[in-house]
This record gives sequence, structure tokens and C-alpha cells, in this order.
Amino acid sequence: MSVPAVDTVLWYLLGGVGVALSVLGTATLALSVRMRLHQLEREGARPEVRRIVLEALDSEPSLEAVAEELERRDREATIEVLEKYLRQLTGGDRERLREVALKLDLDDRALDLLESPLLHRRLEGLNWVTLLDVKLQEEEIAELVGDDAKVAEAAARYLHQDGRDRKATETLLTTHRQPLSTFAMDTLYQANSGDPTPILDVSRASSAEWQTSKTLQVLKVVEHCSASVPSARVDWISDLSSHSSPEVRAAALRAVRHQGWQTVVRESIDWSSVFSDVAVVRRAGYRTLGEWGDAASLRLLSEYGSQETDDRCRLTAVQALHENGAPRSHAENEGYARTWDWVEALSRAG
Amino acid sequence: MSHRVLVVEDDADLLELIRFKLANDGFDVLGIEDGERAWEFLAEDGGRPDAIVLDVMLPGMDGFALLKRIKGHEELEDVPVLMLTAVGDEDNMVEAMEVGAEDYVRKPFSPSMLQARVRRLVE
Repeated sequence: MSVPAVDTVLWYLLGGVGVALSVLGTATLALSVRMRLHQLEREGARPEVRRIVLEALDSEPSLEAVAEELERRDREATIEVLEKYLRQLTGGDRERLREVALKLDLDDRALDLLESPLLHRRLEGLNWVTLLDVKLQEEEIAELVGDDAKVAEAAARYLHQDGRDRKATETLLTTHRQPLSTFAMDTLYQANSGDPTPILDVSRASSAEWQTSKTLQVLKVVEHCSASVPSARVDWISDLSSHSSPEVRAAALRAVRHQGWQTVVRESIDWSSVFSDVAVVRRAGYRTLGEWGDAASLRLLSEYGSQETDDRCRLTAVQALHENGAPRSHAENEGYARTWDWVEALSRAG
Repeated sequence: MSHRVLVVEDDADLLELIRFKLANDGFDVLGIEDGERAWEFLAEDGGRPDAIVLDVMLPGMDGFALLKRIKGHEELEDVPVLMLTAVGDEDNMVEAMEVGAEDYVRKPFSPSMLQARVRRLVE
């Protein structure tokens, strides 16, 4: 038996690869054309769908009649339009459109999506249970989330919208150690801006587990939650003043800027250690003292600010003193006097 | 005679919704999807509306730039403008009110509330 020449085998192989590539290319092209046609079909149906959806805002047509008419249209176009309006609207009009969506069984569709093995389908499902206010039990949510960060963030949004802010916070802060997305930061803030008890309690129990970047994110959210809380809830923040990262030490100081009314919080900070730290920490310290603005804080600002060697830190200290109406003190430090001149001139210039 | 309202909003779905709600309330509504074209309409066509609903985020000329032009134009400066803005845009809204916007509505919004605010602006 003769053995085919190497050249022949190579040509067969190349031919095979060529055929496979052509088939793949043709299939991809056909799929793109089909998707484009489908998209055009949806876009074509959209104005009519939108007209029917908007007419539902009038009390004239019954919800059944609206749903029946929408059933005859392109379902994907209907879903897109309803999603847009449910996301952008509030009040009675939104409620009426939510009822239209329920008549179209979009709640059942959302629950089916949650069962999908595909991540993007599960996320879509969570989006829809949020939009339609479908009640999910906490066990169902926990099972759905597993240890997936993206699903956790979508689930947290759902929980917040549903008024379960503590559970939303737990889901965001305990599911994984990685940093949060901007969307999750927003959820965390919204869930805690009125009452930061959940973020403080959950952080107290789990902050030791986080990566530095996540700790910074949580401290940033706490800093912007201005409501006052009992001192016991912020003691974990004071503990972060000895963290190995200067950014965390600085963020911890900023995070307690709204809690200065509590003696315990004020006394928990070792200012001599803060003002012998690196510039980023010292600057945060001056800002926080300026926010507190009580007599003891102003004394500290004046004492340490007048010895400050870093220009930006000194400027922060003097600005804080000036904003609090503290009198100008005369220190030996020439830079300190110059900084006061500058801040006063700025103030006069308006 | 019905009041004329110009709505400048780049999202076609929202534009149609606002147009629908205002038209149902008896307004004569004109919708334009970008800032440049809205300015052309206002400045060149002499189309002086009784009120303007203006989205902040627009392609090309944004809502603030258009607002400044409107309030800097002697024939348009007294046309009341209601700004449509996103949550968290408070600083920009302060700026918009300083430039001369009469009111603002934050998205997500209640269309009925928007309707009521526009009605108040023209009355």
C-alpha cells in the first residue's frame, strides 16, 4: 500500500479547514442577517406598540383590552417598551403599566428566567421581578445568588426596591470579598442613606474579610450617610485607624465626620498618631476636625496646623479653621502665616 | 387657544410619552430630539413656545447649553423652562435654577406630576 505524500495530506487538511471556515462564515453571516431582520421587525413594531401602551395610561380602555391588543403585536417590542417605561416612571401611570405587564404574564416570564442556567437570563429575570415588584422569599434569593457577584448585585437592588434594606446590604457585603461595581455602590448608598444601621452592623461583622478596595468603598458610602447612629455601631471604623493602608486610615477618618457629636467617637481617635502619619491621613484628619468644629477640634486644628510642613495639609487645616470662624493665630511657622494670608484673600475675593 | 409646549428629549419613548400626556391635557406639543435642532427652531423659525420641557442629557448641545442660550436671548428669556434631570444631579440643578430654569423634575418621574408642573408654568 502506498503512503500518500506529505504534500497531499497537507493540501487535504488545508482544504478541510477552508471548507469549515466557509461554512462557519456563511452561518455567521446568515445569523447576523436574521438578527438584523428581527431587530428591524421589532423597531418597525415599536411605534404601534408604544401607541397602545400609552393609550393604556388613559382610563378609557380596560387593561384586558390593552393586553389583548398587545398580544397580537411583536412580544419583544412590547417587553422593551414596557421595560423602558417601568424603569423611567413613577406614580399612578407606572402602576397602570405594571398591571398591563402582569396581564401579559411578564411576572411568570421573570420567574422562568430566574431558573435559566445562563447568567444573563437570570439577571434579566431579577431585573423584571424588581420592575414588577414580584415577591421572592429570602431563601429563593440566597439560592439564586450563590456566590456570584453580579447576581448578588442585581438581587440587592431588588431587595432594596422591595424595602428589605438590611438584607440588600448583607447580600452586597457578605457574598464575596471583591470590590463592588458602581451600580452596587449606588444600591448600598440608597439602602443606607436614610438609616445607615445596616451598613454599620454588617460591616462590623464582616469588614475583616474584605479586600482593601472594598473596605474603601464601604467607608466612602458610610461617609455620605449623614444620619447619626449610636457610637457602638461605628467602633469598627475607629479600629481601621491602624489599618496597613494609609488610604483606609484616611477614609476611616472621613467616615466619622458626621459622628463628631458623640464624645466616644471623638475620644476614640489618637490625634497625635494621625498627625504624625502620611499627608493623605493628616489631610483627612484636618477635614474631619473642621466638620466637627467644636472648641476642642478647633484647638487641635490650630495646634497641629501651625506645625504642618506639607503645603496642601496646611491649606486644609487653615481653611477648616477659617470656615469655622476661628481667629487667626500667630505661629512662628512662616508657611502658616502665608497660608492664612492666602485663605483670607480668597475669602475676600468671594 | 391651547398653549404651545416644546419638549426637547432624545429618548423617543420618553418624548412620545410626554407628548401624549401633555396633548391629552390640551397642550399643542412639539417634540425635538436634539439640542441643536431645538435651538434652530427657537432662534430661526421664531417658534416661541409658551413653555419648554428640556432634558439635561442631549446629544450635541446639552440641556444646560441650550438653557443658557434661551435665557440669554431677549425674545425667549421669559419662556418658562422645566428641566428633566437624573437622580443625583442636584448640583447641576442648582446651576440650572441660577441660569434661570423655572422648575425641574427628576427621573424617574410621574408623568401626571410633570403635566401638573407644566400647567402651572403656563398659567
